[in-house]
Amino acid sequence: MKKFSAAHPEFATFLSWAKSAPWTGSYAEEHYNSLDSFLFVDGSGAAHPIRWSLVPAAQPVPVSPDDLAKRGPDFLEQEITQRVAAGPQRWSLVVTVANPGDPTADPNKAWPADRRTVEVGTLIVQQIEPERDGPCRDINFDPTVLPAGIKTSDDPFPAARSAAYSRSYNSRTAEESYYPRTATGAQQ
Amino acid sequence: MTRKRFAAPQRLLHWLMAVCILAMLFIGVGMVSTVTPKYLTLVQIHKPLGIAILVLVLIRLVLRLIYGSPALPADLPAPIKLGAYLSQYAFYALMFAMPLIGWGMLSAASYPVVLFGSVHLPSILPLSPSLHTLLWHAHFYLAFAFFALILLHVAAILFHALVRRDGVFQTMAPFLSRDETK
Repeated sequence: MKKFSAAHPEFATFLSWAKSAPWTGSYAEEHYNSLDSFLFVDGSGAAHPIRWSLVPAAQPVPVSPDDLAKRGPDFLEQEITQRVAAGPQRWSLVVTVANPGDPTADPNKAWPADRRTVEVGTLIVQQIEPERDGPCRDINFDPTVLPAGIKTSDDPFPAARSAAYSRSYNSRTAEESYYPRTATGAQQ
Repeated sequence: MTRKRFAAPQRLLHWLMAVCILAMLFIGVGMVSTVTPKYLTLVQIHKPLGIAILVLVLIRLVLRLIYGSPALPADLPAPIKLGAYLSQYAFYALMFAMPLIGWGMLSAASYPVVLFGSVHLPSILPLSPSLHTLLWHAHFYLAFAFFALILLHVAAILFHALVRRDGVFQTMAPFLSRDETK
């Protein structure tokens, strides 16, 4: 790990963020940031570099790392299941638009905080399904499979992730029989 | 009178598809060997080019049924004749099978089959990890078999053109050699 950090000094940026980041006890209280830059294409065909974030509606409640260490190994999964069962959880999809010259090819470099943001939608989570019997089990999450109007940028990471995920998907599906659906799941 | 050469559209399709298929084999090997942004470019070429080959081989089969093929030299030994016929069946089988297997493989993984931009082809198989695995392996191994068949084909045609000099190469040659134009 030390060798890796020495060879990739930009890794220190993540480590310092991870130490200072607010810790919470719930997936529903977290921000999810794309880090990677994508291009949004407007009606005239012009491409705008953006990064997206899912911003939680739930108020984050800070929990110290020491308190978190005392909870069970799957407490985040259990907490989100109970929380969603009690009521849908929401996130706003917020798009941050780059200014000319903002670094788009390096997801490690943050953009200044004053960039224009646009709220483009709301994610509502109404149900939590276990992975084993869920509909996402046998598909590949490929960050380069994008709807019309969204394209990859000069950020090289989505391409690298796509190539690596494709390979892991091939290996994963080849071993599907070792991870069968449960009897109740199969009946669905 | 039997024709001495394949019809001009047959020859055009043969050489056009030869370029496409060779490109496809190298693009295929290249794209599974890189994690650079070239990966996306190669995948974006691989899918529509595969479908283009499927369309071209359909046209080619129809032309073959209409025009037939020039007879092989009468003095060609029977085992070599058999080999020539079998290799043609193998080529047609692979030219049809490879794009269909690729299309089916993407369908079984629920990937979008993107031709260009937002033009997608429909899924031809249900989501199925076991089908995906089967088709992925078929696509992978048949690609190497295809390359081996091409090498065999090139070796055979060099044998006809340089050793036997029996006019078989000229039936598919893109241009007429001087001997024939006399």
